[in-house]
Amino acid sequence: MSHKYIIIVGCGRLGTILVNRLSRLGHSIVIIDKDTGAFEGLSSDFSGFTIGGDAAESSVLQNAKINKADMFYALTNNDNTNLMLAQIAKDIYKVPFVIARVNDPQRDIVYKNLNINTICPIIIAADELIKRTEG
Amino acid sequence: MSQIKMLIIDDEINITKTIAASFAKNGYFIQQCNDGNEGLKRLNEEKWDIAFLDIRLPGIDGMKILKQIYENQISVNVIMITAYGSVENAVQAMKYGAVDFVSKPLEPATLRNIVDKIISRQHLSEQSVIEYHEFIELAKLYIKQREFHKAHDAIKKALTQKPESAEAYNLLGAINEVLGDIVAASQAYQMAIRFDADYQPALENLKRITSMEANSADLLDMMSTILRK
Repeated sequence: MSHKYIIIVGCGRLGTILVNRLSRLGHSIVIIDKDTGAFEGLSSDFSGFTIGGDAAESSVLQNAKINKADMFYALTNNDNTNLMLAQIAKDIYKVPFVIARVNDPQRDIVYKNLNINTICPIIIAADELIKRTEG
Repeated sequence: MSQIKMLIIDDEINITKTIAASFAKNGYFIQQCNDGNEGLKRLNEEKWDIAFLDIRLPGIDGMKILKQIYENQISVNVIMITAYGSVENAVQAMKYGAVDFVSKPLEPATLRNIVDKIISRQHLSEQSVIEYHEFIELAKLYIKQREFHKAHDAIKKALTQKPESAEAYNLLGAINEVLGDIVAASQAYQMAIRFDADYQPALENLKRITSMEANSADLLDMMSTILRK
């Protein structure tokens, strides 16, 4: 297993389940959220770091040591925020692997045109349902 | 050093786990304790190569442990763990011989790098050192031995190799502070900032010493030096 330093923004339902699992796999995780109450959903064996703050402020990303990150996931429920954070991580801090969550499937193509890797949970769910339908 | 012995003194599970995971493959002997009193006891009882020490701890805090390490002349390389984006108390720590810091969040690459530097630093000698980074490491070795004048000379030599280094000027400032020369310290921090306006350690050091309650003689001295420039 290669041990990665991963920064994740957004500790909602997706962020929480993801960091709990990544942490269990042995990766070093930093999770950032504006609302520190969001960290209460992290499991007791979560061994990463939490930072309460607005990731759009450069000091917050610097405190998270974004320049050292192997991966950066922008997973908030706001598509514009995710796009902006992904661009900052990719273009300013040169993080090797960046993904933005896209909540609105119609925007997915726009992001792809901007050369940002995306993940759209709704498209993934639809794909999976089609796969199961077709058997 | 034969097998490297590391003691982690921290009550936060994410810190102890990250450090242990970072060195799991190196075959180091790693022990941890989550309380300041217990940490100090173990430092007194056994010989350790490296101690990771959090500033905030239950029991005795990290700075007080550092003071005890200094007073009891315990030979250990201490790596201080500080809060997010912070370099607090760096000069105070240096007075007690601690020169290596990591701030939260910890990540494996930096941890390994700092430990590698500490290990290879032990073999440096004044005669063999020629390059910038070696002079920096030599200065850190002298600081650990509390040979601050020798550390000062080593940094000066580092600066002849790399005159625009903010890191070296910041270290020079801190050594000057330990030696009690506040004017020279302030000038060194200013030089660091001149070469790198975003260099946080120097910015914080300068902010700290300029907001210190300097007595009026110091202040006059500092102002006249600055005006003469």
